[in-house]
Amino acid sequence: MNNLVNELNYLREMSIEMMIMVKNQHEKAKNALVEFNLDLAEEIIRTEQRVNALELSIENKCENIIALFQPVATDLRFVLSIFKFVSELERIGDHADAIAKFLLDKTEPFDKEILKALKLEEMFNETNSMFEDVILAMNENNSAPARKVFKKDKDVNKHLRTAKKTIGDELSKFHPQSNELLTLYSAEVRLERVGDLLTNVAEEIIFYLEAEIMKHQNKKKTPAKGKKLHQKPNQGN
Amino acid sequence: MDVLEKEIKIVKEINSQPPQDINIKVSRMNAYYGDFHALKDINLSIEYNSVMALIGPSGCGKSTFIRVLNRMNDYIDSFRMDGEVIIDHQNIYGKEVRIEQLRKQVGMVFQKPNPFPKSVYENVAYGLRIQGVKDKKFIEERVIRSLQQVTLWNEVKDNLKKNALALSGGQQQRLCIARTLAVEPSVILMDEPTSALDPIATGKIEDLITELKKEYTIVIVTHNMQQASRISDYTSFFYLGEIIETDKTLNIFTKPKIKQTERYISGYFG
Repeated sequence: MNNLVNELNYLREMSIEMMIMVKNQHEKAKNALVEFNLDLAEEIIRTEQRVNALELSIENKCENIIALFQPVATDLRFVLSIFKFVSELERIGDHADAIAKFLLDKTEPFDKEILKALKLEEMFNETNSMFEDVILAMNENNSAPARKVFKKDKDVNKHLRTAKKTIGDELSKFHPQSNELLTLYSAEVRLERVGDLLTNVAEEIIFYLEAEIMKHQNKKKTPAKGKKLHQKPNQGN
Repeated sequence: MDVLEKEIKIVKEINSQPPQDINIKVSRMNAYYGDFHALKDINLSIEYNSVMALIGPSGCGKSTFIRVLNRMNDYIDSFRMDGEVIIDHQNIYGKEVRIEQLRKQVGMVFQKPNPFPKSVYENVAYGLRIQGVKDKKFIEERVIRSLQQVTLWNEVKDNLKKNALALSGGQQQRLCIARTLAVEPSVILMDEPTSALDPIATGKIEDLITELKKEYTIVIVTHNMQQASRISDYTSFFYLGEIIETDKTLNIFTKPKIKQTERYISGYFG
């Protein structure tokens, strides 16, 4: 077995480990929210750092494999797909962390009726099932379970639309423009995500120019220094 | 239809697709060294102004194939071949073909630079002189143009009388390419042209190949997969005397159709 095979096997193990870790975070977020378990919420927040660290290790491994072994065809697609999906896994971990932090701001459990009306458990269960599909697909090198995910995502979207309508209907009992407010709030949530995503783009540009990994660092403490490369990578000598 | 049959069908379809402008067309070609069947039923078409990379493990028949294209195997007593090799619309194994004319039409660059122990100028002028060209001005113009084409002119223009063997390995290889260009071939064959060179000299030859394909058709044998993927338009994978797969280079290195090709380019055998 050559070194590349060993490296690829190790990368596969790391990626499955991260999938399982994030799936656990996701399941804990459900239980913490439904059962109002604040200890579990704190556990999620503590584990978030491990998720971030594992993401960095996997990205670093991908970078090294590309630089040192120049994989092609299936091997290259394998490394590239892992390089891309670990970022998505890390974001899912962020969502579990965010849900846990919402809970720490609360003093009382959620109303069971509201939880039911908003389809929270259904959405958690559906996304958890999607997790099982992608882990199975990766574990068995089989695209069939991965293809099941698309249909399930549509069901998740349907639950969200139902929940939004329910909230709108409830709020309109108290405020005539509640649907408008809800739509605008949804737009603001999207804008907040745009800010996050542009931050990610900025981090990657700094990584390219300075080889400094900015991800998961406290950027407020980072001085606004800069570095300009005099030569673009495609300019040659 | 099982997987192997499907793969064979795909390859036959690819090989049977006639590209628009074919410079080299090899059909049903078999080659033998005595009893050894070195090339088996080879069918390959190469377009004008393209770079075709031939890859495959040692002993797979790449070099035999490239030598078929300028009849260099004719000098080997035990060698025989059948089938058809058309270059510039002419069967190069036809009775009317003159070997000297073919060598002018199909130039060759070897693994190790092999300049003659003569001056830089005479190395490039050599091909023209043996063709009987006497016009000094014509020869000089052609020498300068060829050296400029291989980006060697600025490095040697002040000392054209310098012995070619005193040049660096990379310069010698570019000189050999200039020597080939001086007789204005249609096809340039390159048999591992950079395997004896350092990365800088290799980079210069690769840049040169990309530039030369604007005027010539280039067939290159290489063991360097990254080189094949960087510089060629098409790649053909040879194994045990057969062509396993030929396709656009991008397809070969991203989604080859045949498992054997994928295993070879990924470094799992060979």
